[in-house]
Amino acid sequence: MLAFFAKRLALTLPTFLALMFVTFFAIRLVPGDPVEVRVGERGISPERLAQFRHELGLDQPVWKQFLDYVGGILHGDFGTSVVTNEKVLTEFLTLFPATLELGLCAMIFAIIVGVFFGVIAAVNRGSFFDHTLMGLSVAGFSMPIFWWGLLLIMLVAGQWGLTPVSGRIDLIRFYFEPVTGFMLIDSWLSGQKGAFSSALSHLILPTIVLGTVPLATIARMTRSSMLEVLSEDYVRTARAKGLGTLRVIGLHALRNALIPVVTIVGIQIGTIMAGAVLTETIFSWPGVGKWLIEAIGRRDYPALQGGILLISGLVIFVNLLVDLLYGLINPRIRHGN
Amino acid sequence: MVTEATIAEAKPVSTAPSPLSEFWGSFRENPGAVAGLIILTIIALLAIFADLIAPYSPYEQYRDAVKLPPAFVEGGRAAFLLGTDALGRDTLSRIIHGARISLFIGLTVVTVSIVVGVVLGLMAAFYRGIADVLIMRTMDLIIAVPGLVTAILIVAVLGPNLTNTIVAVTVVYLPRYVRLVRASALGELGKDYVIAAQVSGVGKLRLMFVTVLPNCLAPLIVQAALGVSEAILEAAALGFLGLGAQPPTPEWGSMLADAREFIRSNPWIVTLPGLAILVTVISINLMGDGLRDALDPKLRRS
Amino acid sequence: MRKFQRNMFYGAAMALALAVSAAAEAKTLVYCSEGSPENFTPAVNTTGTSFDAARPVYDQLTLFERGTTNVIPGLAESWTIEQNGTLITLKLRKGVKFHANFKPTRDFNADDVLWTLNRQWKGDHPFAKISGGKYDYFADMDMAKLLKSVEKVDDYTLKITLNEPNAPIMANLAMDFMTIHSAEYAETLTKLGKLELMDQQPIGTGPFSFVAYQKDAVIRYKKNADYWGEKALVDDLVYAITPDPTARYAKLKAGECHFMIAPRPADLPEMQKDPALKVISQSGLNIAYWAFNTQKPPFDKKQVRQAMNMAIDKQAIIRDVFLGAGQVAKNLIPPTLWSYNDAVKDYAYDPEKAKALLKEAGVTTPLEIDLWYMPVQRPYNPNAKRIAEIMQADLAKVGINAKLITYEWGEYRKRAQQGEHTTAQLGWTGDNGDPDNFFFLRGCSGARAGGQNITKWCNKEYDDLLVKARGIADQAERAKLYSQMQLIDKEEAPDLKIAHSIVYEAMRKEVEGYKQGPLGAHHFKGVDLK
Repeated sequence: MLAFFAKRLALTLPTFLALMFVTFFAIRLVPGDPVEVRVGERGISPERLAQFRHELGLDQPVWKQFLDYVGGILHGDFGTSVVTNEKVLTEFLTLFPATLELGLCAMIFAIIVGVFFGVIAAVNRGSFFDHTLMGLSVAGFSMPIFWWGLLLIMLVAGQWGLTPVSGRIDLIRFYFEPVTGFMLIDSWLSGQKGAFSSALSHLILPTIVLGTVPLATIARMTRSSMLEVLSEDYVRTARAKGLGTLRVIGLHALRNALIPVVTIVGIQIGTIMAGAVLTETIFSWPGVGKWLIEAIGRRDYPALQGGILLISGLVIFVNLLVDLLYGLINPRIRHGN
Repeated sequence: MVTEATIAEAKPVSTAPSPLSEFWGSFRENPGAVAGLIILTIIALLAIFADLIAPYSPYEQYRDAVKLPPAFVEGGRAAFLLGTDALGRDTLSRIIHGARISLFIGLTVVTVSIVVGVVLGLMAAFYRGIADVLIMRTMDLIIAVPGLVTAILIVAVLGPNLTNTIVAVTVVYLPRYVRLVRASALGELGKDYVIAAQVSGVGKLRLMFVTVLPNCLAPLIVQAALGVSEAILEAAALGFLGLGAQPPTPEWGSMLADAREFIRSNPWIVTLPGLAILVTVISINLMGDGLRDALDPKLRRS
Repeated sequence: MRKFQRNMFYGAAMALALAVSAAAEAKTLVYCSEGSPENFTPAVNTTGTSFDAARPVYDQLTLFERGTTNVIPGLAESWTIEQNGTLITLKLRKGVKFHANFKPTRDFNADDVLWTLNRQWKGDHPFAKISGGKYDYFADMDMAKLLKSVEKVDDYTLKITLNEPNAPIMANLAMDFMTIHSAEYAETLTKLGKLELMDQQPIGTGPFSFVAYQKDAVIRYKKNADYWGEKALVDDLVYAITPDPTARYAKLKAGECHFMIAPRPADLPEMQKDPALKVISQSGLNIAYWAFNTQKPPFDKKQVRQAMNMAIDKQAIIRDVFLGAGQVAKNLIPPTLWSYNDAVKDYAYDPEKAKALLKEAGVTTPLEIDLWYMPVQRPYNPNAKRIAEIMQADLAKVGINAKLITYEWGEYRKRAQQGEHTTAQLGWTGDNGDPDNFFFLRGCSGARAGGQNITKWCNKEYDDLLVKARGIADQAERAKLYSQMQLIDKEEAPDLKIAHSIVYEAMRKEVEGYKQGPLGAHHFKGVDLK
């Protein structure tokens, strides 16, 4: 097991290094520069431009900048944002809990609802219910989530006034210092009446929007793997032995059917990260996805390259974990490879 | 067609119904797939004959008819069936012309991905060693970064327009095709017919593209069908972020982005382009499902 | 341990609950703002969002009277100008207290002014490099060139010597970048080794003191009971950072905020109908224009430029892009600015005449041109892309094929200043209410490659008048020259003047005493809740 882990880790290291290299140079190919972009109509004199570029180290040869950058990362320094003058890592860490909270909620929502409906559809194979669910899942799977988000805002938040339009909590009524960065936990810890429900109501729409595609995928996956398991001999035997349907499904079938679902969940992490960019933009959710988009707009090189690196590192890490988990559930993998 | 030729070459001709009719038979049994195919055909026809079908030019601005709701809603005008946008352009005409752009993006992305994916995937499978490592590590790299972020970065470097949207989306989806081709080629390499061909002195290129490739096609076709819908979604997302086709091109995603400010006052302008994306993508996915189900049994048999 | 923590939270919650119940009687004004400030020191920033966030906390030596561009005494009680305007003696206000967030031991005095100036002026100042150390406004207003020396005569007297006379200097001192900081606070932070807090936890003399800030969420201030001037009328001031205008509107409707910045023009009709809300507006001190590169054919010909002016339906732009939140511009300066020449007659929308003029100028149609549009929203231009689309359609009617082009914003401006375009949209927002701050945009010195005059138009007659007006102190005299320049500009048509935006602001009915400023600033010191 350890060897398997070490091998996988060794495989990701070069990827990470290459990533550092590619993001660094790709970002320098983006036209425009961080000094020019902030001056607006007023413009800037060539001398002052040169001076700022010098202070930001932008006048040095690119290879030198790259070496400095790599050196910094080895010391845990991802650079300093050109716009806010804050450490990129600090910014990332303050914003990341928001993304994580949203991502986790979306994932939990997708898994619970997806597995539930997938199982029901499989058990009632061919029924009207099955067809409807699978039809809906194709729709969910095909959803342009930026439009879905706008639509929900328009109807649920705007027309019916059921949920807030955007943000994480009602900032005027509730005020507390962040402890964990997770609004749900912080609002609960604050002990202020109504804070938790306010945080929860702010989460509903973004969770649905971000969870829709994974939900549809998981439902389909659960259904098909469930169908496969249900047709296997041991399940049929269990049924023949007179075990209750619920018990068969719950104990025998579901456990085995969930193996492929775990992989899907792993793959969905990437989808969630990409979806977070759009969802956060639509709901003004102060997370890393929105931050990254803004960094591109402001040509904030350090924030951009640091952000991409951190997010990708995270995706790589999660995938590694999923691989490990999968290896644990299914021993064939680690021996076969 | 390709499948037919393949099987004829690789295996003894069977007396069973031709693979194509067998495929069609099982495809037809799937009502969702047929519905998808019908809708998609209609959309494709609209796209191809947009100039004839669309009631107006997608660029003509009717300044006395700005932000009209659809004709069936109060305040709409019969002349503009689906209403008009912020500059008085006919929404129906723009959506019809937008179909052309979206399908074009989808098909181009997939075609390029397949061609490049096949070449890279086969190279990785056949040459192994350094070529394999280089190609596959690069693909890992692309996969590690969330797709939309990669696409945004590429568009930011190259500048926003239709061509660069296609380039960006292609790069994002390329790894799937490469991995798929490589995996199935590796699966085929050990088989008797390949070894037989090798022994009989068939050249490497011929071995790659003529002997092995046709047997890797079925999963590729399924992936391609789903790839079209994903490419359309990704391109629309770029358009929505203002990084896609440039004005006045009637691209669905950018139409949505342009209309965002009217979400309260004129919700129709926001609703319709999104609906067009959804319907198109659903129909492709339904058809893709049918394709997979129809091709899958054969995959298992071979 | 866990229990202890719980208790701690419980205690904190109790304290907060008490604070909240007290606040129920106290007045809290909530302002839905549009973004996070970069930090709280205006000198290192350039955005209105950052200035607005710093404004409650600070004062300047001179102030703009609320709602106008008139300069009135601030931390400087009075001043005299001598030696042809090159020597300014400032008398500082006595008994002004800094906020008690740290423990100030002395009142505001000349040292604080020197500290503020030197941080921006002298590269070796200990705080010069903090927070990026870019003092854009100090540089843009040519302060370094202007200032010869600043001497402290005594604690409450300062002598400013200039290199040349400059009438607008007293207005410059009222601008945000001249916000006065506490030198004593700086010393305290130096001892603590936390220099960057200077810009993150602001201490000033203003009507409100800073309480807390959470990025992308909220800024809190409370009333400064010791304020030297007109005291704040509300007890607490909250900036709820809400970037999305739809969300801001929803909050305003729900009573979650009392005042919102920048309502969407599309939402205005609905807001104006709502009896719980008030919508106010004022023409912005700005101009959106479409510049022709007069050094590139066929735009070197006056007739062609005039034809362009006749080919575009500006009313349609105002209606469909500005959605009414703008007025057609005929001069470079907005009508609210002194010296506006209302006698200037704008070109009427007339495609036929435009075609005839193009023919007369020997232009063969279809003519291919580039039409650049900014990739970003600006205060003077809500949607350059949509304007470009309208122009493109109008130009097609007179036989011109315009290709729409854009670049990343910084790149866009740079390329336009280099003169790479044939035609490009751009605009300007005034800084200090002086007409020269607009008219210089068409001067010869800006027409060189890289200069701000992106029409690259250099008209000797116009430029001579511009330079002459700068040297005259009498406003009426200057106004005459500016009137003349506006006539020349209209005849020569180096650009098409699109619009001056109208700045809207929406608030709840209970908000009283708010005055919209022509410079786009948001002031809450005289504002009350009824």
